[in-house]
Amino acid sequence: MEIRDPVHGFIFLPHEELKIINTSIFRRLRGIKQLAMAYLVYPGATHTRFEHSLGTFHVAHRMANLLLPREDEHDRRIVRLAALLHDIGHGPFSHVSDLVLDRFRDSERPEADRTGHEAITLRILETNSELIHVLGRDTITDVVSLLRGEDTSQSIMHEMISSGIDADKMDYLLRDSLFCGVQYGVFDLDRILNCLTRHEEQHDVHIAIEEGGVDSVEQFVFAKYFMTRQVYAHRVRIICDQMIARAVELGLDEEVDFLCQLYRYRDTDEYLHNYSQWNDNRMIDTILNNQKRGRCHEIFKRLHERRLFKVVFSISFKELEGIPSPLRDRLSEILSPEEKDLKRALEYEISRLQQLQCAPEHVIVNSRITESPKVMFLRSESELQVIRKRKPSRSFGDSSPVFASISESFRDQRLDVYAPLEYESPRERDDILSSLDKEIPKLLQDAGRQ
Amino acid sequence: MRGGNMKTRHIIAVLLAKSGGEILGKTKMQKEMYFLGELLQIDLGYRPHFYGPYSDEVEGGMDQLEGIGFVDMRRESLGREDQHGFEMHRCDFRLNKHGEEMASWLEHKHLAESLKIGEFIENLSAVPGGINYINLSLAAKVHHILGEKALTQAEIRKNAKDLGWKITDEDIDGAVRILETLGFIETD
Repeated sequence: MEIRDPVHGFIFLPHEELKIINTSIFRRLRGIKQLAMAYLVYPGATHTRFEHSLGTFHVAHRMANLLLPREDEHDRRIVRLAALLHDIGHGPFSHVSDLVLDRFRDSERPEADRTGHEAITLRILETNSELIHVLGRDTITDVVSLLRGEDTSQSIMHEMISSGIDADKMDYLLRDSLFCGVQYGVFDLDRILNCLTRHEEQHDVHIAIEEGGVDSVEQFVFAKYFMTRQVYAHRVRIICDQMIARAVELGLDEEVDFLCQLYRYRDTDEYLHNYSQWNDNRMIDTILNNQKRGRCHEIFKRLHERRLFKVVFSISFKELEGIPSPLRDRLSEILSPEEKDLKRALEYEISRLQQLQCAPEHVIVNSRITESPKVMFLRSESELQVIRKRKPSRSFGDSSPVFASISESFRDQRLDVYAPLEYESPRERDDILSSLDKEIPKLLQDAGRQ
Repeated sequence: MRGGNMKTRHIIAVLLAKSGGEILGKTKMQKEMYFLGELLQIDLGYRPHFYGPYSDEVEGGMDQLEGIGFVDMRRESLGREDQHGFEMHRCDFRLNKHGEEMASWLEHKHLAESLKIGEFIENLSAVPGGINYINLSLAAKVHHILGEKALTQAEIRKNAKDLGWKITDEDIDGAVRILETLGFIETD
């Protein structure tokens, strides 16, 4: 069967994959938006994990056909299935669920380190009866093994699913770009695929690129950089994500039953069954229609009505003065569970400032990092080997003149504060923000003395 | 678990402080941290890489120190160009005043580990003929790949030859001197 896709044109789905996309666990991805509430910034960004999974399958299918021997049909099938199923464990609002699961992980429990969507993907694959019925246990075991990436004899297969130049990124950059209505994520997919090749290093086989493909990989690297700057790290998008995460945290504090069941991870079939019943709209509707109008409800109502928090303070760590270094170090990890108390204390103090006078739960302290494209991608793409005619291969990092000319020394970590901001005129807004620029650093200094 | 709960960036900060506040080049930093991980028996996530063992965790730690504002990274020209005509360079790291304050606090908080880091730097400075990023990389590569098999100087030479490494006797001598001084191999 062929499915018309706005990014790749016709996607051919073999019989087995067609059965998978009609399972209830896969259909659920139609309700999980790829970029959470980014549609509040880019109205077109309403695409879901469903079509992204199809796109990733399509690109991985092409990669497998190019890079794996024709006789290895079993391996090519496992790559296709792994690509199709790689996001099956995403929760409502995609990565926002990961953010909450991570904040509420129980460090005393052995499975605590494995509670992101990737870990839940593996658990769903291992336990979902529909998928087991369609694929069989042996195939599921092979798919899980490939996604885990622990078998070095499968390096090249794993790299098609997860590496600097994998099918996942190649699909989401083009798809997110198209649906957001921007051109930042565009690159020459066909050229990259045509230049892919195999590279044997000691006993392992890896994805490599022919020398003629260096320019197209450079374009791909910059596509990731620009999409991060313009879409993924867009100020309003970050505020939306943080507001959703805060609302869920408040719901957990208020012991909202369904949120507790969804975000307090337990490694049980019952937990996974419940988790797989939820998507974005069901969660929004359940919260907005909940008779108990608590603080969680209030923030979701704000999101629904697009009454978003604003950036009321933002400073680079390099500009922070008068803060003792150990506190500066702790502030850099303000989002970690270990610094939860520090974060809450700061948010409380900031909420009491005369310029804001709001509920403490309506103040969000956040830390975010901006890196140069080189640092951002050096670790992954620099590993990619470039195969040269009659010369030894060398790394992409050493082969790309554009990459070589970029400074690595640009890295900016910022401390942001988001809160509701009410004002009558732009001038009043500027006065409030100028005043907060003076008051909040004083609070940070006080936190160091306590 | 880090030694005494020291985070990777904290080990790097103390290493920088014990090195006079500055380390010239990312490769040198990576390889010094590799040996430090071995000596402190800390898993820093090193894996084989084109230029010897490499750790994303250490790379991330360096980036964190720069982002927090403890380290200034400077791009130093090497005064020559690559085949594309682009200038070759090296990244140098220097603790700034905030970084020095942090390192000093860490040295008191993690006294035992800091003493070991200081001892390691003293041993490195005592390597006959000195160290540079090339012989340090080779020493790390030898240790990482051959591990316990590399017991003596003669065995290292033989293994390197068997593996077909394109390195000179002088390179091997430099690497062997480092491994000997740090106590990783026996003297022939």
